[in-house]
Amino acid sequence: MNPAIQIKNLTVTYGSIKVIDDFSCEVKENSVTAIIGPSGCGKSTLLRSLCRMNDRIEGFHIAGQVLVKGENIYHPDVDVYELRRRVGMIFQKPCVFPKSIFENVLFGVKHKVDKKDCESLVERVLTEVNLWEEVKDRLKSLATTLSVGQQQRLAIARTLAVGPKILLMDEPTSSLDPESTAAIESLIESLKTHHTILLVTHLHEQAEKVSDNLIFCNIIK
Amino acid sequence: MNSATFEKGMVFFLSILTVLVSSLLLIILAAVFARGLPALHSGFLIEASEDFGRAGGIFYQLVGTLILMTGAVLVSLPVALGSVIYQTQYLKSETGKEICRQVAQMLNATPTILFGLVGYLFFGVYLEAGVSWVTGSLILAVMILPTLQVSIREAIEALPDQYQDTGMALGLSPWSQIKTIIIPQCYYGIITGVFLGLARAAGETAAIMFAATTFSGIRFPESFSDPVPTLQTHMLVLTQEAANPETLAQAWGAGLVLLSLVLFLTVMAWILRSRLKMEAEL
Amino acid sequence: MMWIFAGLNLIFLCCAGGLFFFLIFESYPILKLQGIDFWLGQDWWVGETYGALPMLYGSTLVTALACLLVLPLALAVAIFTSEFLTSTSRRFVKAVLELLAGVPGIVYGLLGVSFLSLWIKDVFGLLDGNTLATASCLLAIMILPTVLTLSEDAMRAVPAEYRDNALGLGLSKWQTATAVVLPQALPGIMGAILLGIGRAMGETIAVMLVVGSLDRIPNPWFNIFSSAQTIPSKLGREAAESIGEGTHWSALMALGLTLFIMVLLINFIGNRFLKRRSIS
Repeated sequence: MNPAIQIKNLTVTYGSIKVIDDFSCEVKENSVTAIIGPSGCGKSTLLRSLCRMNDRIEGFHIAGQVLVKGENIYHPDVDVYELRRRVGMIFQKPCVFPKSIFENVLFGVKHKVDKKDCESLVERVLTEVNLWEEVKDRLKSLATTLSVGQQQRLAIARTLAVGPKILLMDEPTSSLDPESTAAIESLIESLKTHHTILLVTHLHEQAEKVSDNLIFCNIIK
Repeated sequence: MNSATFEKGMVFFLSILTVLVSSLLLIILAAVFARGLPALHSGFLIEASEDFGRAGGIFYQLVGTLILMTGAVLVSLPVALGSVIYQTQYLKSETGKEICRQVAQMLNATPTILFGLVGYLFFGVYLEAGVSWVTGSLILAVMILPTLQVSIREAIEALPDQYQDTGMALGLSPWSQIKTIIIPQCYYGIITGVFLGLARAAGETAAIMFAATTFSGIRFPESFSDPVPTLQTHMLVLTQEAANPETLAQAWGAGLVLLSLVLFLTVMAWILRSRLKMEAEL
Repeated sequence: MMWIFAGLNLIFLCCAGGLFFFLIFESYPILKLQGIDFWLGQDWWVGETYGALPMLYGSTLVTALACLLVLPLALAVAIFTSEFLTSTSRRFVKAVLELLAGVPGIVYGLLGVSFLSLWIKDVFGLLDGNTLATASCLLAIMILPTVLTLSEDAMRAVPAEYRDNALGLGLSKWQTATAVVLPQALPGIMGAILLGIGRAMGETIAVMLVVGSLDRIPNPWFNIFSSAQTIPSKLGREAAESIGEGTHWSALMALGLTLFIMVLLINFIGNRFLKRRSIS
């Protein structure tokens, strides 16, 4: 079976600064891989390179290959937006838009889903992230009224609604209290049955608890 | 005198100066009002002017000014919005952005009489729009482009980076991001820009005085090629006649109306900016 | 969609470029005819010869004088507002300044004609109150808000550490303001003045009404109480007569081009200074 992600001799530079040097690895489907290492060693850069979020940054240069489901994502013919719908990203600080919970969940798929399917989609993904019971009675209230932990789960639900098979998580629990952290960790475990997850974290226990594979990063001087 | 007293004296002196400068606006308003009083009567705003402007009201002049202002903003807004969106969302090279910034600064600093001269040449003669309100609106539209751009750009740059990152991560195309994130969150900048642009266009005389206006003969413009009377040029002609205080009083009266209009629009811009910005950030 | 936005951006760029292009294009005839004599000649007789020197002189003198008048006042109020006022009062002053900056030129012109000209005529015992000095005073008032607000910004931009350190050493507020903050803010203040100069040079209507519109260099050259002429004022007065074609028109456009380049240069340098807000 094709590995979900293959990285071959990846080198990433910003201008003259080399952030990733000749890195290679394979990530199996439906698994959780944790990337750990000290600050500044390039973990976030690696993650962002997998969904081409670094394209906007001036001076960004990449060498080597990144294959998602056998396809080189840096090939000029690749549709970047479609790629980002297949490879979803969760950030450290949950960013919810000043709209209702319902609208936030549908934000990425607004014009692609029929009106009649919206409600069932919202219920499905909110259930997947274990948020449905908590918010089902106030879907129309502002998303900013949720706690940070709930907002992070909402952000994950929003990403899931777009339908990616691969999830990239950049220190998803750094902004959260221990309880919410535990909730996210068990969420990751339940998600991995149908999704391939790459998790950047600086918490070693979290990495060991949750992941099937570990990638260690060293600082490039 | 010792240095402590000297300093106290200096600070006191400075505070007087500051109060003076702050009251400048009030002084100007008071002067305009006092001198305009003889001409101000209940029908001033809605009557036509008579006797070559020496008596009567300023209705058609007011209408003319409003027509030019509104036309200017209607034409300028799409260009300002489009260009700022292009520069912030699509343009990647720093050199390109810097060039656009410099061009905007250049346009903003240009003496307005030049807009009138070249604008008339281009719109009035080459494009054959003649001396008309259309020419005037087009000239003013170019003139207020930087004003609109600044407000819109401010609003877009105030948007947290995370919004854009999140939108990108969800796979939204740039156009989707603009439609669903940027415009809804930033339209207060558009509204502010519109009001400030209106205020700037309203007060401008040099750019339109020979390209769009007439002193007498026309009431409402009946076609695209008619000039219009305006408050600004009305004041100009009357001022140059400066023969007697009664004539001048008409100019002062028009001045009061114009000044009030400009101040009103500016204050509205501020109010709308703070009100709408709060709503966007909720 | 991108192409629509790119197109609108192009229109924007073309407006500016077009302005420059037309000025150059229309100036060509007269410059070909008279060459450098255009700027050195002192006589402007329509149909015969066009000399821009009186206008250049008038513009420069009027602006320089306005600058001298504005500077002390702007600095004084900027120091007070930036260093001695609470933030609420400061916001109030800034609001007033922004409103003042928006007052239409024609209103200033009217004030100049009805008040300033007469005062200057009476105080200095002149035959005619429309002089270089009158125009300078009026311009000084007009550019005061701009210069003031930018100078105040420059002073506010000086980091708090400087003030804290000075006060901690026992300096008074006044000493801190004048010996520590002001020197640090100098580049920004330079920028403010230059931008004010740029604005003063370009003002048409107010100056046109009070400068006297006499195309002569005053005699003696420093007599600020004689009537004179500036470039925008000249343009404002004569443009209506010769719109569109002819040598006269070309001469006017050449005047406009000269003004354009002067103002642009001043603004460019001024903005450069503004960017380097504090001495690093």
